[in-house]
Amino acid sequence: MRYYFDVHNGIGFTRDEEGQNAADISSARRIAIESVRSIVREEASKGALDLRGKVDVRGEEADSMFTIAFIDAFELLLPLEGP
Amino acid sequence: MIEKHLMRTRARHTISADEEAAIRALIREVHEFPARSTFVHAGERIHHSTMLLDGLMCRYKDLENGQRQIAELHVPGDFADLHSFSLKRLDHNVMTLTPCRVALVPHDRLTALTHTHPRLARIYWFSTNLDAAIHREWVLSLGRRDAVARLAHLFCELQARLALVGLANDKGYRLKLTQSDLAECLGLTPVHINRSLRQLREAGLMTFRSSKVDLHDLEGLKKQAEFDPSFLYLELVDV
Repeated sequence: MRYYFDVHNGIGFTRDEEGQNAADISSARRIAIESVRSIVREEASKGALDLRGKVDVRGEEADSMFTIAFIDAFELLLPLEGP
Repeated sequence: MIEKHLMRTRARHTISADEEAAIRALIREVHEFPARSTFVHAGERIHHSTMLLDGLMCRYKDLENGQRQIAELHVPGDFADLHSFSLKRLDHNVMTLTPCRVALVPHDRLTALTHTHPRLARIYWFSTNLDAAIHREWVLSLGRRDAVARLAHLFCELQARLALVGLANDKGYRLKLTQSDLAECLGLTPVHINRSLRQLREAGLMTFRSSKVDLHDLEGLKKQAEFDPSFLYLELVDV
């Protein structure tokens, strides 16, 4: 099935006109996560880590829409606050 | 039939009428392949080389998890797998990206050519060295350029190579590739390609849409890519 991956993040909204084939929703989910990691990896290499974005995934059927928040593509380990 | 191959070759070397006739006599038959067919598989014993007449093809390698890296794109006029003449088997696959028309050149005719026309043998040696130069530029891109510069560089390279065979000018060219194809060339994801294309468009440099590259500012695009065409040896070279 064809899925479309629209990205919303710091530089704005990028609509996916072409889409990609995925066997099912879970492979579409994997594609979305890989895509987020690819984008964030490059931004991080330039010194900015902005995890406020999201990817809206549109399938060809109405019930096949879902969203992946950038932050959900990572396991986050942050230093503890305080003294 | 091999006009684009002659244009590409004459951009770098003078070719006499006798040499042109010898090149034409290399071809045994012409084949057509549909898009997305892998017609040379890594490891197979190969007895002929493939000259690309029309269409786009690529060489690629892949991992067990299905991830594919395209290592070079071939445009009309390229003698795409001349490497197999000396390597006998290839370490990579060759696949059509669009419907392609190819001419098959038996290796024994190439062997004969090295005896009857040693200068043409040196010209084809140059040609495989040129492929190596293109690979080095891709290594630089994959290793060091950021996504936007990688993409910009590939569009500059294709503009230069397609212009040699009359298929591009300073305003643009047709390019029947998908964002997934570009992703496999550049080690990125299709979504990342889409976003980088948007950045090139918003910078007023170029637009890639509906299999068409519109170059709004080719000089600006070259600057973005740090594109130096010297790796394409676009000058007459005496071999």
